Order: sequence, then C-alpha cells, then structure tokens
Amino acid sequence: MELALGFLKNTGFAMVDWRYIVMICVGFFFCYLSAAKNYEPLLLLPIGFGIVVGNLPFFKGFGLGIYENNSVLHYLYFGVTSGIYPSIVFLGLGAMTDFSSMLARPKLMLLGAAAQMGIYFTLLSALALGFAPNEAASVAIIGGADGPTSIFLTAKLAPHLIGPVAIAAYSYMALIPIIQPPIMRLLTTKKERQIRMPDDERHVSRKELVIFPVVGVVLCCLLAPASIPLLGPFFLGNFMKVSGVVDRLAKTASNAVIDTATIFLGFTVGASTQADVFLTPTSLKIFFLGSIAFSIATASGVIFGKIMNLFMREKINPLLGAAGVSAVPGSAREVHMVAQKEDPGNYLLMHAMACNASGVIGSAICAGILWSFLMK
Amino acid sequence: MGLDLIAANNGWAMAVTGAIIVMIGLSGLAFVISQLHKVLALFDTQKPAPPANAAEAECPPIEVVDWLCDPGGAARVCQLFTAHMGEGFKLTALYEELVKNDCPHPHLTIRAWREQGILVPAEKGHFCWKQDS
Repeated sequence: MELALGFLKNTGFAMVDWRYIVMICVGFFFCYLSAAKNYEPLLLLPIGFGIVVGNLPFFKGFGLGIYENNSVLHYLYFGVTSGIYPSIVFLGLGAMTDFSSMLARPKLMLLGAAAQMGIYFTLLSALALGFAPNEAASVAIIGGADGPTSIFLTAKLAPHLIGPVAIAAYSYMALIPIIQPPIMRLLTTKKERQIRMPDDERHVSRKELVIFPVVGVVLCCLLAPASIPLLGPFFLGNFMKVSGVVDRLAKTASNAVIDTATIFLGFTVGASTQADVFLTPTSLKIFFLGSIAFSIATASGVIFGKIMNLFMREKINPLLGAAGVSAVPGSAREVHMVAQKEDPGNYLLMHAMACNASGVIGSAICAGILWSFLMK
Repeated sequence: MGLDLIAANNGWAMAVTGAIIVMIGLSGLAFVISQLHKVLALFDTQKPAPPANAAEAECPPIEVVDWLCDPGGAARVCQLFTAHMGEGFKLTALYEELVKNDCPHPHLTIRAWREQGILVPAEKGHFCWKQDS
C-alpha cells in the first residue's frame, strides 16, 4: 500500500499545478490550429506537441527536462541555443526560394526594407517598457516575421526569452490572415488596392540567377557580418538550386534537411515553454509587443508603397508593402487575396513574392545589425 | 520615463542607424540587381560575333503573316504555340491560348479557320488542325 501511495506521489498527476494545465491547454490549442484548421501546420504542430510534452510535470534532477543538463531534450535544444537549427532552416529556405521575380523587379526590394521598420519601432517600444537592450532587440526582431531569425537572434542575445519570442513569432505568422488584411484595408483606398502591376517584366537569365546569390552574400554580409550564419547558408542553398549542377544536394537541402531541422526546432522550442519559466508577466509583454511589431511592419511596408507612388511615374500597388515582412509565402498570398477581392483579375502573387524574398534578406540583415550593436 | 529609458540605452541611435543600414543595404542590392543584366549583356556583346553568312544559314527566314487575310498562315503560326495542347483540343482552350499570346481577333480567326476547314472536328467535341494546314 505504501509503495502504491509512494508511486502515486511520484506521478505527474500528483505534481501538476494550474500553470502546467494552462500550458498544456495552449499546446492542445496549437495542435488544434495546425491539425484541424491547417494554420501553419509545419510549425505549429511540432511546437504545439512540444508545449504539451514540455509541460508534463516530472521530478527535477532526474535529467528529464529541457533545462536539465544531460537530458535528451537538452541536447536537442542545443541546436536552438547555439543557432544551429535556424542556420540549417535558412539553408533549406534558400534552396526553395525562387529569386527570379525579385530580380525582374528590383525596385520592389525597397518594400522589403521598409517593412523592417517595425523591428526598430518595437525596439524603441520595448526599451520604453523597461526591457534591457539585448531583450528589447530579441523582442523587436519578431517584427521581421521570420521565426528562425527571431530564434537565432534571441539565442544570441537573450536565451532566457527563446520560448516566448519563438511562440510569439510563429503565432503571429500563423495569424497573418487575421492580422494583415485589416491593416492593409485601413491604410489604402479601394482605388489603390485595384492598381494592377505590369506583367511585361523582363526575362531573367540563368546567368543572373546564378550570379545573384554570390553577389548577394558578399554585399549583405560585408554590410552586416553578423548575419553570416543566416545569410551564408541561405545564399548557399539558393546557389545550389540555381546552379543546376548539384541537384541532389539542393533537393536534400530543400526537403530532408530543412524538414529535420524544422521538426527539432519546433519540438524543442515548444518544450522550452515550461510553465514555471514561461507563464510570467514578461511573456505577456513580449506577446503584446510582438503583435505591435508585426502590425507596424505591415503598416510601414504599405505606407512606404504609398510614398513610392508619390515619386514614381508607374504606380505600384501599395498592398505589396505588406508582403515585405518575411513570412514566406503567407503574407504574399494574403496580399494577392486582398487585391483579388477588389479586382478578381488583379494578380499580385509574383510581385508580392519579390517583396517577400527581399523581406527574408532584410530581416536577416536586421538581426545581424542588432546583434553587432549589442555584441559583448 | 519611457523616453528616458530609450535615451539611456542608446535606443534612438540604434533604431535610426539600424533602419538606415538596412535601407542602404537593400537599396544597394536592388541597384546591383537592376544593373546586373546590363553588365552581362555587355560581356555578351564583346564575344566575337559568328560570321554573317553562318548566322543566315542557321536562322530560318521570318514569316510575316497578315492575320486577317491569310488564315492559313495564321494557323501555321498558331500551331507553334498550341503544340503543347496535343492533337485534339477544345475551342475554348484554343481561344484562351490565342488571347494569352495576344493574337488579334481571336473569335474571328477561329471562325475563319472553321469556315475554311483548317480546324476540323475530332472526337468528343474536340477539334484538331487539318493535316495539310
């Protein structure tokens, strides 16, 4: 009897408290969003499951938890804290990215730069709310709408915030269809949303596609050397793809490699949200600032599009600015759908993808800049 | 209090400098990209041109077609970009293909082809080009 009672005391049922139950419910919700609603399932599913697993109560000191040395989860989590997984994800992203629409429309890259203003606005807001500079930068990068970049920078600057920052970044990426359209509609007139973009863009040659990743990595990494761990693999992946001589490597990078990294990244980030370290007022502030960051990023892209129209003979559709955040391809798809609601014959997807691609580069540069500012 | 904290942590300088750097970086990259094809074209033009008679021998003579008055010629041109549709195709698909390729008067042209027997009915409501057209 005593043995049975002792065993019962050691089970998770006896150790659970309300905080774990709250977090497990959050995990269930993420699993529901991904499996039933198909919201960013590639990310939310492993994260949601990780939240559930990470919040099952256990005896501390047995090497079971993600924050305990020598636990399996701790070793897997090393890929996050050291920035390995984000770099690998960027390699795969590069191998999947088609830059031809961006190369054909280089002026749209400016919208990708403008959308990064959300990062700097949030940096100021976070500092004003009392965050330390390294924490403020980690929160601000959520405005780049790029999960791996957010995780990478937070791992470097404020590792204790990885859980909330990653969850906020991926949650807002999944909520793009809810967050972005109202901001786009609020800042544009019906006439502006109906602007059609020319289809007669020039053909991009294979030579250009092959030269771009080499030139891109040199230019971007000379400007912000701290972005090498992200942009190096990113442009390498793209170079492998467009060169056409290492198809096997490109396919592996864009399938098996990125999938493996995504599984471990999502699962361990989810598991890192243990209730005792996650359910704090700081996390709530991060979620609040994350939503501000994402909204300002969208708004600044759209407003910059309108400003460009003041100086350009050939008007651009300002909705494209919203695709300057680097949530690929969610934000591009949303821009396309909002434009099509106003004019079903308006096809903005390829133009929006150009802004999206430049947004990925822009947010990685921003991460490098912030890291170099705060490097100790 | 908020503004003081920003100033105390060098926030204004970080935000302004960071924003300027990313704008300059992506603008510079955009500029390089916009000039890349011109530079490549420059290198291509510097390659020795093949002898004129060789070029003439390689290129077939360009056929100039009067789209309205020469339905047969128009059909020959059209067959080049409808080849991917297979032997039999629906008239609606052919119409869409003509529109996509900016062919003038697609309705009238298809009607002329039908009337002159250049476009003949095939099975299951499909049409095909007459063999000698």
